[in-house]
Amino acid sequence: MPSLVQAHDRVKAVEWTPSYVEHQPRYPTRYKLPRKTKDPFRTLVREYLTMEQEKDDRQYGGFEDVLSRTARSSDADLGWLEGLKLALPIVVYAEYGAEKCQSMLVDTVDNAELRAGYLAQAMDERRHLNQQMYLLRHFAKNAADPAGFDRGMKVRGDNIFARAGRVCFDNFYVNDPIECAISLQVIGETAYTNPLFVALTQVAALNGDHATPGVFLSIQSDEARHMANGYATLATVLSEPDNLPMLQQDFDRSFWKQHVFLDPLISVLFDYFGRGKMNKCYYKLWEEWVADDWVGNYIGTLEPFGLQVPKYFGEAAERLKWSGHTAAMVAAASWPLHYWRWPSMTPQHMEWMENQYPGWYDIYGQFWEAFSCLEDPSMEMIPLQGLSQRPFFCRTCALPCVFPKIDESTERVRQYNGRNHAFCSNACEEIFCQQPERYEATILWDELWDGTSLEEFVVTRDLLRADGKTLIAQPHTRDDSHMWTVDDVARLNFEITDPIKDVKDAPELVKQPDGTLVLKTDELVGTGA
Amino acid sequence: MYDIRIEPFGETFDCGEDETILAAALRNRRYLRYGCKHGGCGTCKVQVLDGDVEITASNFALPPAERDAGTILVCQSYPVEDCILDVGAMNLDEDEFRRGDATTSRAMTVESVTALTHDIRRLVLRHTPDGSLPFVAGQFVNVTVPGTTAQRSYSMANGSADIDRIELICKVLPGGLFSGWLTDTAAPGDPVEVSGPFGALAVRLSHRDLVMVAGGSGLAPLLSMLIDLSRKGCERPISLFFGARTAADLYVTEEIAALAADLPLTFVPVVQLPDANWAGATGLVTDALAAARESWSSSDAYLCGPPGMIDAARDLLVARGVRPQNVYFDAFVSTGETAGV
Ligand SMILES: Cc1cc2nc3c(=O)[nH]c(=O)nc-3n(C[C@H](O)[C@H](O)[C@H](O)COP(=O)(O)OP(=O)(O)OC[C@H]3O[C@@H](n4cnc5c(N)ncnc54)[C@H](O)[C@@H]3O)c2cc1C
Ligand code: FES
Repeated sequence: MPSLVQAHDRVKAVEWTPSYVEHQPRYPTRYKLPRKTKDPFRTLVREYLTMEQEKDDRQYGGFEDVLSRTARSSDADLGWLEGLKLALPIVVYAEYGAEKCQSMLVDTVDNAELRAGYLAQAMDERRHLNQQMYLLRHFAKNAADPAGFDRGMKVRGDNIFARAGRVCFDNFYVNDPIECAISLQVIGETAYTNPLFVALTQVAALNGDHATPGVFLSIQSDEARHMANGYATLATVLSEPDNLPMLQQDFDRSFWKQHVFLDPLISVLFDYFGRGKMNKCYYKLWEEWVADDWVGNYIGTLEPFGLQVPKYFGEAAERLKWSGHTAAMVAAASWPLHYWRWPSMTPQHMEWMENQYPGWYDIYGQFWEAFSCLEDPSMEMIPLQGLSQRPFFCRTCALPCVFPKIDESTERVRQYNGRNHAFCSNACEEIFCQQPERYEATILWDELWDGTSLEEFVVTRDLLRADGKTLIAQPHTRDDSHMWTVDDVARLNFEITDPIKDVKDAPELVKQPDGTLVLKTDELVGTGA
Repeated sequence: MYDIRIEPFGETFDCGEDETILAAALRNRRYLRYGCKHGGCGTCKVQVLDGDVEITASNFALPPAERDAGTILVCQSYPVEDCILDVGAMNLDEDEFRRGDATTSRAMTVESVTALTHDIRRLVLRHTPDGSLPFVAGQFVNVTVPGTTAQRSYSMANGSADIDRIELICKVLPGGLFSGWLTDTAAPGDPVEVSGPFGALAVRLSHRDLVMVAGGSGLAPLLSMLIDLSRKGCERPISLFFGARTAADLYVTEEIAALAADLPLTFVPVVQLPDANWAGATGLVTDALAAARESWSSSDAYLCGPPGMIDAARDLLVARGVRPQNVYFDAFVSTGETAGV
């Protein structure tokens, strides 16, 4: 429990002066305001926090009561709840980005009808954020193994995958506001909220989790309106034919950047966590909801105005057959770095996988067999140690370059501005080359932690349970007698490294007059370009 | 008389035992979306929520899986008790439903009738000042057989950018009403009543390749689609299989070859009874499909022609990886026959 002074310092920690942008007030005032003054909050802090907590308890108390009397979250499938530990802090960030996006649109789009829609959406997004935070709180109080539910929000910036999620959802409020609206309303909400909030709701229910469906369905009931906002925004933009080339490029790019993170995430949640399985895997749902409904119906109606299927859609469809499995494998191999546990894979689950994704076992089966042999700390090994080479991280999407599958890589390394940059795919490289300044400065996970020992990472990132010793993450959801501790991790002698800095002579990208990049070819070298 | 309740509008009308539900709706001045009225186009699909219907005539446009899931074609269904139907899939708004049938017919004139083979005619109809008929490639019109009140369905075979005319490719059926008029009577300048456009067959936006299969006059809507795809600069690979009995039954092959110059199009004419001069694919169109590729899983399928061919091609393509949802078709069921059943 932090002291009052600590709590108060934490409140002030959200204030900082950014070095990378000059602050231009949107509504300047004629008054002079000093930077430091007497803090009105300090006197409040003691009563404030307890008072608000009590109000929350009262407001949500009814909900808690019903849940605890009907189906208790502590009875839900353990593996499924681990998936929620992983996902909820990421989704919460998406809601935050979505709210910011609305504020930008309200400011930018001078059209009363559209603006009214954006304002309502801003309120929805704030509501969703609160609902999801509450869900996290509910699980932190009631789940059979709550460790991690209380930590995800804190460590998501330090986690390989959650960090990439932030890069993905930054697209909701970075760049041109209309491009942000496309990323959020047209792609995020129209293509992906069905898989996220409808399909996962069904999986939750199948796994005895009765808290999530109520929250998710309440959220999803707002999404139809947000989709309408997206459609109205698109139709407005398309009514000016001059916008089309720009729009198509933004659309292509936005689709890929949502796909590249969201598809592996949802497919991992859907296909890997929880023993209760639907009769369809994520890939099949994606074909129905994203390829048939979103492209076929929604984008189809805008085709007469010139809008085309996103450029990288075919590449995405091809990649999606395996990318969820590859992401799951990498996330499992790196399990001690996370704030959730990996459920062991049962023979029934493997059979389901093979039925849903014929050929799965040949590529991934062996890994999961081996993974289950390394559950016990006495094995003194994590799968990450078995990797002959650590993957690079992609400068554009911030995920490890492991896709589409382990025996088939589309990774490439380039030099630009005196640094090496890896890309996981053709699309990520092209997107980088369109706007290098947008991605160049991204600090990737392995750059951030280069040279840190696994033990130090786990301790400084607060990835330990209340005993200060046992890891939150575990490679199983079994009973508590086989739990890995920080001492087990220390024995591994594992160090996080950033392998890309050692790559020599990667092909070079050079800037063209229009600011985009191309690969430097011999021809260009010859002409001295 | 039975009560038919229509959801989501919550309205009920009566329907006689010998009356299709579609006919009853239109008689009661309510609109349900329809097209061919003969079970061929699938436009009139609805979901039965409660009650039972008898399906006496052609039901071809309804794949067995949908039938089992309680979908019916209202143009082919007679109630045997009170029914509740959900018309949600028709995408009707309440105003459209309550306004009744607003389908108008237009006066057009015959511009030309050309023989493409011994039993296939190209009929070009020109718009009168009455107004044009914007359509989407894949749709069809109902033509009133001159001198009668009977209507027959024909798909547009020209590109949708042609705003002054429509082109139809018609198979001459022995003893057929429209066929008889077309071969014996039709002459340039003759007036014709045309209503439409109808039907939901259209190229769906997708990232997949296209496989098109035509039999007989079924080439018509596919030809229209190809013209439009070429105009839009389509980059999706297209495979067109065109089945005919003999080489003499193939037509517009040069027009297709010309389209292939602008489109990533592979054209495979398939002849069932080849003569000594025929060097192309032989057998049924499904044989050629099977020989061409082990897997069609990266394709959407568009099928048009006689019901038997569609059944066979659909089964083959689905077995070879096309998702059942991505098989789009119009079955050219003939009116006279089914009406006579
Ligand atoms: C959506 C759709 C689109 C179509 N598009 C085309 C197209 O583009 N081109 C095309 O050629 N066709 C098309 N068709 C098919 C076409 O509409 C029918 O073949 C139509 O019936 C032909 O009309 P008809 O008057 O010439 O023959 P009909 O009078 O309808 O007769 C059809 C056949 O049935 C026989 N027959 C008639 N009455 C009876 C009876 N009482 N008992 C038994 N047999 C009988 C006739 O002898 C004849 O062989 C389409 C059909 C549909 C549903
Ligand atoms: S109108 Fe019923 S199937 Fe065509």
